[in-house]
Parts: sequence; structure tokens; C-alpha cells
Amino acid sequence: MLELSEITKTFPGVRALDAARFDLLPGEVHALMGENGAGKSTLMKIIAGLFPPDAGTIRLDGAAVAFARPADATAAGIHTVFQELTVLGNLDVAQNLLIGREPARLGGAWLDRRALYAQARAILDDLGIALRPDARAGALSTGQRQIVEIARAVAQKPRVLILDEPTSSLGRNEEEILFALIARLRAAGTGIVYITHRMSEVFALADRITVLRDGRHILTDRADRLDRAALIRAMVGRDVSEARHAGADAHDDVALQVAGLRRGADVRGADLTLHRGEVLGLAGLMGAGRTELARLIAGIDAPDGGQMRLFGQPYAPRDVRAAMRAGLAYVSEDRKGLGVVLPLSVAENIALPSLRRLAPRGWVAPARVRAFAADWMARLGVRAAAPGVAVETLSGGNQQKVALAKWLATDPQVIVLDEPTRGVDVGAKAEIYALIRDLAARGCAVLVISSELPELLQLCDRIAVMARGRISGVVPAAQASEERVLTLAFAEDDEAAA
Amino acid sequence: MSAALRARTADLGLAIALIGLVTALMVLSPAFRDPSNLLGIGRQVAILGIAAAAMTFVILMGEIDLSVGAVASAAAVVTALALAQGYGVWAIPIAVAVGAAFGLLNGALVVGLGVPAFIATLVSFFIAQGVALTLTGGQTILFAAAWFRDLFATGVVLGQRTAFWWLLAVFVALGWLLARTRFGAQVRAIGGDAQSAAMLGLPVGRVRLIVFTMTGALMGLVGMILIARIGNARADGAIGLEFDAIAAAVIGGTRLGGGYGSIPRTALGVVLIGVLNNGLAIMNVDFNTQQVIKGALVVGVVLIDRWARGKGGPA
Repeated sequence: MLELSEITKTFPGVRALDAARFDLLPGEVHALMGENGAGKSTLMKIIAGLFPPDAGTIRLDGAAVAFARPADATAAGIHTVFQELTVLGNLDVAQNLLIGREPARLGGAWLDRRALYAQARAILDDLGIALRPDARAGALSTGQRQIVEIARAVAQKPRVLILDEPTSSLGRNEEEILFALIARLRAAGTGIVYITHRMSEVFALADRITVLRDGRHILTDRADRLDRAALIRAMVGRDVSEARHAGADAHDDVALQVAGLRRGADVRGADLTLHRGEVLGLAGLMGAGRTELARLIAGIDAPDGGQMRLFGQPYAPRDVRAAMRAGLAYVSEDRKGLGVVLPLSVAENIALPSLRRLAPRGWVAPARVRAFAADWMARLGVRAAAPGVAVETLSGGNQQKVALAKWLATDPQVIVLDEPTRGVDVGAKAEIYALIRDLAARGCAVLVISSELPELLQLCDRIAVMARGRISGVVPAAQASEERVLTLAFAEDDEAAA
Repeated sequence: MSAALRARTADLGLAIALIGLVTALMVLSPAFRDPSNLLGIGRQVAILGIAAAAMTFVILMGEIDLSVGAVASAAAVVTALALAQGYGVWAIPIAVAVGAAFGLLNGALVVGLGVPAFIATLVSFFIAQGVALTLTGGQTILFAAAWFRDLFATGVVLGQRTAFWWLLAVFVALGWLLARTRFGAQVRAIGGDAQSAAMLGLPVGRVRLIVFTMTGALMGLVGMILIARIGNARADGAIGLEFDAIAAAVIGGTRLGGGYGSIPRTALGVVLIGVLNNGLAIMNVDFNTQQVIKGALVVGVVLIDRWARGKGGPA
């Protein structure tokens, strides 16, 4: 039904797509894969009508089409769920769901509020989503906003639905909602373009897989004729080891001790011990309080109660600066909001937390900053034209590397990484894992929060599992399995229900 | 305290502040509690109120308009000249056209050329001032059109001056436009996050253009009320109106940066400023002290608003 051929798109300095092709059949899930910067997002945005291709043709049901703006694609039945959430925080759920097509009389001059909430209620009920139509979207979690975003597209009965990394911010039960929706859409004949980095999802969901690399089409094949290794080879152009980390020796040197830490309903008495030279994973379901705990440790929020000790000293950071001075760095989950300053250059971003060291008397030497940043870009493999380009022009994975680089550059003794590989492709993931292991080997204490269990199993020495605001158990990675961790993650939920 | 309850309290807080202020002034000043004075406040706030309602749209959309005072002044001058030269009723569409033209210029600069609204409307401010000064040559323009003055300010309908009825009409129209129309929903969405709104296929450029042009056209109305009240026009007639309008909108809870605000709450802010101005003037507090008190009021309201939204809420 949808066919793109010989699509070429050049941005200043980069050929994002080079004669790429892609096609979609009704009722199929077609996974689009590739490393960061491979051209997936560009291809998706061309289908969605955000910008036109420089060359090539798009055919919908055999007829050539040209979308000048997103509304044109929408009118043709093509809906997109973007990775950058477009849910508006100042509106409520119902207004978000029906934005641009609010029920109204007199050609939009008289909004029918009752119908708005009734329709929103119907959409939410129909899709099995437990959210209130009048809840303000700004108060929802990232995962819930993602669900609203998906519901908005699904409610418009799309002929083509593009999902860009839809699960990157979803918890497990929200994932199930999504997968059920996909099954329904597929049965109704909707063609689904599914962009993801998660192998397990691709093989569970996709009928066909297309791989792009450096803007070129590498392969398209049925999912059941491909395996993990073949896909990775196609994406990276080389073999990537997925071996599990062996698990280092026991460490006795306590770096961070958390005892009975509490804040509101999110963190309800968490105990945690992090050793020097260790990578400790923090697993848990969406809403278990992992990010909230990390924010307490990082000094972003103040705890209601409990104690922390850093290298034996009482540690109660008033703010992020105090935490930094104490030797602790926090790389946030939300790189758009907290991790990097998008309009600033890569070099400025990397240098930002290290300015005290780089410019002790307040004078910034641009050459020194550039050299400093270039060094870190090389170490992390940040793919950018130059240190001087704005971070907002980079792909998601490279932005994440910049966020990591800027904190690694402060030479922290304890580092808290919240979802360090979200939206990052396999090749870059392996690089980030190596970096994290290297940090630990040099004596840094690392706390990694991740919703991807295989990632934690592969990366960590020990895994602490959080459930309903408490640590429900700590397992050495060598003895951990997905089942064991999940059991702990659900443990207290069951107790509470009983 | 729950977030919802706190938000209610904030709404209530503004009303309570207003009631407290009115009560205090009634006790302290016999002149204030005179019925003719109380009714007069409605007429006095007409100009501020219309400007503040338009400003609420602009700020809610995430923009700012610094040109409203200068544009209203320019429209006033052009209209007074038109009346003085015998254009009669034609003076009315001329006033609206002058205001709308400046609003369109603002919108074109912001939407077409991507100039930040702060700069674009500053440019219009200077041009409008230049036009007004050139036309008046620094003189006061006199005109004699009793029908015009009655229509826009001095006439009495149902015991209230016509200026008040114009204000009420604008409040009702804009309140309805913002709260009950698709256009209003689009303004709110754009103020929440313009980039997302564009990705959702909303006509961002068109909405911005309309809001700026509408604000300009309303400044034409403000200009007419201004000269109808006093019977003459000066080049600096409404200079400074932009800051009072922003203050009233912010006191009413409109958030600079966009996304939050409502016309009824702005109306409350307008009445609060109107009562304060009237009360302080009637009690012979000197003008400079009045300004300080007004400033303190804005800070106070913003602090209460932030408290009501809670520390964890959006900034």
C-alpha cells in the first residue's frame, strides 16, 4: 500500500538518505532498523510529511503522493507516534487525544465539551487504558504520556501507523497495552512501521524487517528468515559481542550507603549499598521509584527522611552542585529536558560541568574547550561533524553520548546513570557498556537504572530490584535471571494485593 | 494539600485579595465607597481591560506584544484626525484598520521572518510612535464629534457608560473564543509547545498571525475609547499600557512562556488593578508610591501562584 523508492535527502553536511527504499503491506508490522544516524528517523519524517525528499517517489496505493506538511500525511491516513513526545503538558488527556479534531458545532465556533470528554472516555475504555480524561498531561509519567500519544494516533483509525521507538519509555504493563493495540490494528489491516532498537520486540512483533545503514538500504526480509546475529551484522557491518559481563570480584570499599531514604509515595524507605569499582544495576517496574530514588541521591529533590553516607561521610546534598562537589554525577533519563542543552554546541555541552576546572579564573579559552571536548568525543565515539555543531542536530544516540561525556568529564567517583542506552543502537550500546565497565575498573562506583533486564544482566555486578518505593532484593548478576529479577519486582505488589 | 485543592485556593486567593482590598478601601475612604465612584471603576478599567484580554491571548500563545500602547496611541491620533477632517463614521473602520495593520506587521515579522515577538513588537512600537508623532507634530489633536464620544465612552446605557459595555463585550467575546472554540484550543496548544503543535498538524503560523492581528485591531478600539473619553488625542496617549496589560494578565494567572491563562481570571486581575488604582488615587497616595504598590502586588500574586502550583509542578 505504501512504497518509497530511490529516496534521497541531504542535510547540510550529511547525506541522511541515499537512494533508500521501503514498502509496507496492509496488515503487516514492518520493522525499520539501523544504527543511530542510519536514516531511520529521516525516512520516517519524510513519510510523515515533516519535510519532502530531495529525490525519489512516494506511492500510496499505487499513486504518487507528495506531502508538504504533516496534515497532508494525516489526511491520507498516515499517523505517526514520534519519539519526541508531542503530548502537551498544559492540556488534559482528553484535549490531547482529540487535538485538532475537537467535537464542535458551527464549524469549530462552539466546542462541545461534554462530547469531548465522552469521546475521550470511549477511546480510553476501548483501548483498555486506565487514565482519567481530565487528568492534566503534565502530571503524567513519561510512559503514560507515551500511551496517550499512541492512543491519539490509534483513535484516528490510521491506514499507516509509524511507531518510533514506542517502548523506550514504557513500563512492562504499558508495553502490553501497546502490543495488544498493535495486534488489533494489524487485524484491521493497518500497515505498521515499527522503529526500535530492541531485538526481542522485533522478533516478537515484526513480519518483515528492513535494515538501513548510512542512509542506504541494506536488506529487507521476512523476520522468520533472519536471526539476531544476522541483523546485527547488517546494521553494524561487523560482529558485536553480546557476551555477558563475567562479574568482577567482590568489593569491600563502600562508596555510597543509602539507609531508609523516603520521599512522598514514590520512595518509601530504600536501602542500598554501592561499592567502589562496582556496577550496581537498579531494576524495577515503571513507577517503582527508581528515578525518584536517583534524584534524591543526585540532590535534585530533598528526601523526607533517611540517611546517606558517601565514602563514610554523612551526605545530604542541597542541590546538584553540592552533589558534584562531593564527587557524584547523575546522568538523567530525560536527555531533552535535563541532560543536554540542545541549542549549545557539543563542545560547550561537554565542557559545561567541567568549566570550573577548564576555566579556573573565569576566562574560557575556546581552543582549550574544543580540545577537551574533542578528546571526550573521540573516547565515546560521538558522531558529529565538528565539536562546534549544536547538540540538537545530532541523532538521539549521539545526544546520549554527549550527555554521558559531559558527566564522565567531571571525573566523578560515583556516577548514577538513568537509562543510559535509551534510544541507542546496538553498536553504540556496546561502546557505552565498555565505557561503563572501564569506569568501574578505574575505581568509580556506578549505579545504572535500566528498564531493559538483558542490559542489566549483561552489564552489572549486582542488581538491586526496586518495588513500590523499596529495594525488594539484591542479586549478584552471576546468579540473576530475568525470572528472578521480575519476581522481586512484582513481589511487593502481590503482598499489597493480598 | 492536594494539587487540585491548592489550585482552587489560588483561584480563590485572587478573589479573596480583591474582596479584602475592596473592604479595606470601603472602611478607610468614604469617597471610595460612594456608589458613583464604584460604578466609575468599570469605565476606568475599559482600556486596560481590553488590552489585558488581548494580551492574555498573546502570552498564552507563548508570545509577547510590547507594541499595544504605541499602536493604540497611533490609532487614536489617526482617528482624531479623521474625525476633525469630517470623515464621520468612516473614522471607525479607519481606527480598526490602523490597529490591525500594526498587528499584521507583528504577525508577519514573527511568522514570516521568524523574528522573536519581543523584537518584532518593539519594532512596531517604534514605528507606531514615529507615525503618531509625525502626524501630530507634538500637538494635541482636537475634534468635535459628540456622537463618537457617546458611542465609545461617555454615553450612558442602563446606568453604565458605553466604555464599560465595550469592555464587557470584549471580555465575553474573547472569553468565549478562548474557552469554547477550536481556535482557542489551538492557541492553548501552541502555547503549550509550538513544535509539538506543528507536528500534530495544527496551523501554527496562521493562528499566530490571527492573534497578533486581532490584538492590533482591538488596539484600534482602545484608541477610539481613549479619545472618546477625553475629546482629544496625543501621540503618547496610551504609552505604558503594555506593561499594565501584562501585569493584569499575570496577576490573573496567565503564565509568561505560554500554555496557561484564562479571560475570566485576567478580568479579575484587571478589576484588582482598577480598584487599587482608584482607591490609591482617591486616598491621595502619590503616583510614584502607587507604582511601587502595584509592583509589590504583581510579585505577591506570582509567588502565591507558584506556591499553589506546588514545588513539583511545572515551572
